[in-house]
Amino acid sequence: MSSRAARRFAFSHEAFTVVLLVVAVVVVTQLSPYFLDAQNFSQIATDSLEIGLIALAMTPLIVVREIDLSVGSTLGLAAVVFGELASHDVPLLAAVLATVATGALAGLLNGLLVTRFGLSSIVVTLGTMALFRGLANAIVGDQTITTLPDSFTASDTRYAIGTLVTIPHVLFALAALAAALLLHRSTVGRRIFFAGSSPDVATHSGVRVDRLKVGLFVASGTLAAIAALFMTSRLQSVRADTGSGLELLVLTVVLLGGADIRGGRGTIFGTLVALALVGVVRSGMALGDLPDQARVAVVGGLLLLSICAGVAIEALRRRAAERRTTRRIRGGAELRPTPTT
Amino acid sequence: MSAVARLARVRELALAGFIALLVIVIAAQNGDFLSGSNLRSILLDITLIAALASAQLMVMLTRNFDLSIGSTVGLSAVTVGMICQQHGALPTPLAYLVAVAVGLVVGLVNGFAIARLRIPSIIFTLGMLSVVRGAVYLVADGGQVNSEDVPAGMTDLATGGPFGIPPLVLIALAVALAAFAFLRWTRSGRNVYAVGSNPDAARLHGLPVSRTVVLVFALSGAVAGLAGALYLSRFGFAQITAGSGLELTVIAAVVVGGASIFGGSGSIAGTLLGCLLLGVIGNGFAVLGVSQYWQDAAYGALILLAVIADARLRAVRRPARSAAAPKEATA
Repeated sequence: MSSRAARRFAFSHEAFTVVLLVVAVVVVTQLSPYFLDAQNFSQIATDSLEIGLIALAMTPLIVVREIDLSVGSTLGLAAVVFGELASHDVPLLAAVLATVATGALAGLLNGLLVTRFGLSSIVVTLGTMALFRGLANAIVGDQTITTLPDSFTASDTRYAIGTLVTIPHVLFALAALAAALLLHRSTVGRRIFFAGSSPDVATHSGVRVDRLKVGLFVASGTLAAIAALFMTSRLQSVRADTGSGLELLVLTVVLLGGADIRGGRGTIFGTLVALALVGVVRSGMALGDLPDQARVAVVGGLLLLSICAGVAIEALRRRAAERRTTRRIRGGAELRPTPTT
Repeated sequence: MSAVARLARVRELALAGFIALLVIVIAAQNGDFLSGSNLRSILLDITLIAALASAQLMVMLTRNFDLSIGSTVGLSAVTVGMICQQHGALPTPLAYLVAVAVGLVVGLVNGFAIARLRIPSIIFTLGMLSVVRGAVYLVADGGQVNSEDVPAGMTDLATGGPFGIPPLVLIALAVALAAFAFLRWTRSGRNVYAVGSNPDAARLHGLPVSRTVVLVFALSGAVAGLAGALYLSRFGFAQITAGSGLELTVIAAVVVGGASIFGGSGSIAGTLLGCLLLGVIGNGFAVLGVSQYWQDAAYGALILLAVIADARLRAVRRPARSAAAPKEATA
């Protein structure tokens, strides 16, 4: 790493998140003797899967200046659709496909409302958050569906490697790799950053910003539906409130990972580090027997911390850049642009 | 300006007409809908929403959102209830004061973070939503506010009253009227509109932009605190989940009432009509025997319809203004 790249990393949000992760691991290790355990890490990975999967789509959405608050409700609706079909003896594959299609359609609705009518995605997805949750409620009411096929609910315990790495772990790793390549190593990814940092210029340069956004909303809905499948197979039951409040966790992970809510910045790497951080914190709270309400509050606190840190890091970075400029001038260097080497 | 104002008034008329139509349809199906006791229950149902929506309107006029109000309602209700549980019943006015103070603290935190640190309000208040809910948990300390803890003076506000209108409804109405007067006749109230329609112009004009933002969040918090006391008066108990999800209904009411999510436009009259519409729909579902489970879906669809209507109106309004003149000139 050149000194310039090192400096850029040191002042990045990702570095801050890595530090937080280390601190969290040290603290939780001190608090509980059961934390540093391979089985526990496997459990953390399993618990973080659904959040992580949705965060993979939320990161580019935030980069392109949009947001999807309906992901928790989309997950709920997809889970309910799957539960209804699977418990009525529809073939498993057909039920899975219908579930994924439900998520994709939900995302398509969001995307079209945002791009066709020029609406703010915050309000649109706040509306669809209520709409999708309402539909899930209307379908199952206060029932809990537990009559799911064994072949499906047992899939979570099918291990890929040894007794630690499950098939969902492997699928998530592949999805994360694909998302990272797509966002950071492909033309589509460059267009996403382009559209996020200067939408007008991107539009005038021939980037089809609207189409890009619709695609990302569809991806968000689809991944929420796949997360619904993972969650259903893990919990072995479906209720109308499945996945409610999940949007908060996903947003926390993405923002904590350094994505800028104003668009144009964000990395899959940062999101993954933040995912690990939130996973460790949640595991620590579970080991400490903290009740649900308190856990939600801690996650909310993390979200606030991550935004305030973003503001502080931005200020620090600006000040460091200014100081470098002053030093160069005071140091007798002539006032000319620094050679780019 | 007057054209825009005229259009806004027409929208409120359209909304009122829609509500009237809905009332006629529901009443035709079931005559009990228009009975005195049912009308009173609609009024009581929208009391909380109306007070909260009047404050949320001010926040939304400045292009911001306050998603933490549901949790704040819970915090103030549980705090007041817990004080009564441990130290005996508070006099009603004092209970209301404590409630408002609790909300004001939350509102000031929101306001300063959003205005000074320039954090997007939707994200900050989303974080506060869960932090404040955590505070509710801490205050409740594993318990909840039971009906015997709530002073009789508070619950009495939900019954009786002049012309069968409970004092609770009158309190909410007073909040709405105060908001109306503030927005219409005070300098700070006009600043709220100015900041929302064009923050840059407002700043260049020397208006106190960030102070205005702090003010609307403080007011929103204070009203949410008051709504916590209203909650106790209305229901007579409070669990730690009290008020959760209210923010969504309130934003739905404001948006349906014609306020623009792009700030700068919206009225108290429209907002109250929006509340009434949600109240009529919620109550109508019950009267017509439609499952309550559809209510969330209906609210969500209403939000979407309202924002689409708002966007369409803007699209119609803007070209009309710029394209009208040349067309007339050639004709």
